[in-house]
Amino acid sequence: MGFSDDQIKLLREIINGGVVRAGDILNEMVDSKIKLEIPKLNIFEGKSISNTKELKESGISSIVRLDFSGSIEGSSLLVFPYQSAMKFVSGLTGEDAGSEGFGMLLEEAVTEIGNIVLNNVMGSITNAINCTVNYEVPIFKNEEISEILKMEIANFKTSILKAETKFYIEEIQVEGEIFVFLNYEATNEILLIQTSK
Amino acid sequence: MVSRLGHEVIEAGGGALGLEKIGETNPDCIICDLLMPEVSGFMVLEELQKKGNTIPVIILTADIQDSVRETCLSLGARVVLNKPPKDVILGEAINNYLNL
Repeated sequence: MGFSDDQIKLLREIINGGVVRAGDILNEMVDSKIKLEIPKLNIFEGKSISNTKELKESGISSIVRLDFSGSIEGSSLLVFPYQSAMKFVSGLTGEDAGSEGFGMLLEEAVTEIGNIVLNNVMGSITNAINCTVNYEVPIFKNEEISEILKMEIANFKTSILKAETKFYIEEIQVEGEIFVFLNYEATNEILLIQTSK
Repeated sequence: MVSRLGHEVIEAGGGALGLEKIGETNPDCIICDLLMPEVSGFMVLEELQKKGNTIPVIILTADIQDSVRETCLSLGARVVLNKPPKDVILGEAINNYLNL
């Protein structure tokens, strides 16, 4: 098992395609001009999972989680450091982060953004490998990402795709991350990516 | 959005309630999400297909999977639109498939 450099490059292109498409959708939803980019994709497998720097990070993140099952099983997450989420939602809506009801607005906005981004990323992957997944309803949480990573590793997820994502809204730049947690079977399915495309 | 396009809207908060309201009100067009707790959009389509439904169904979903689109169409959906739809695209779909 193991992803070759070519496979990582191809996966990055596929995920980037999904993210760019999600950016186009978000552009149509709001007045601000939004651009999304994936400059870097890291894949952690087996023992290297414990090298994920987020395992050692503390601090609350705003996280949207979209679990999937079917041909491949796992979870996908869009993660913003909490301060970045506030900056992003404030930039998008024009609402002051200190205003009353901003917490609810942040939850709704980040959930909607996460749902669109993760559906487009996962859909791009499953379309590329000709498989289908069924999604659970997306869940929003303010939580430490290290806690989620520990839980996923404990639940036998053998691969983590981590895509660093840049969100540009007009002059504001916010960085988030997309994680896709895969079990052994799902990893093997995605390893077939070059032969199926 | 659909009201803004000039149509009367009957809402249902979920698949089961949607099926009930379809039976009660016999609408001209059904707009249905896929990802709903308990009774999903797929289950709504299956149920409608079993009953020999002729009311046009438009599926609105964030899911972009080709296979999902094909499944919806095979279960009788007339069109699958990705969320959020542009007013003009949803309006065109409704007008195209409306049973008037």
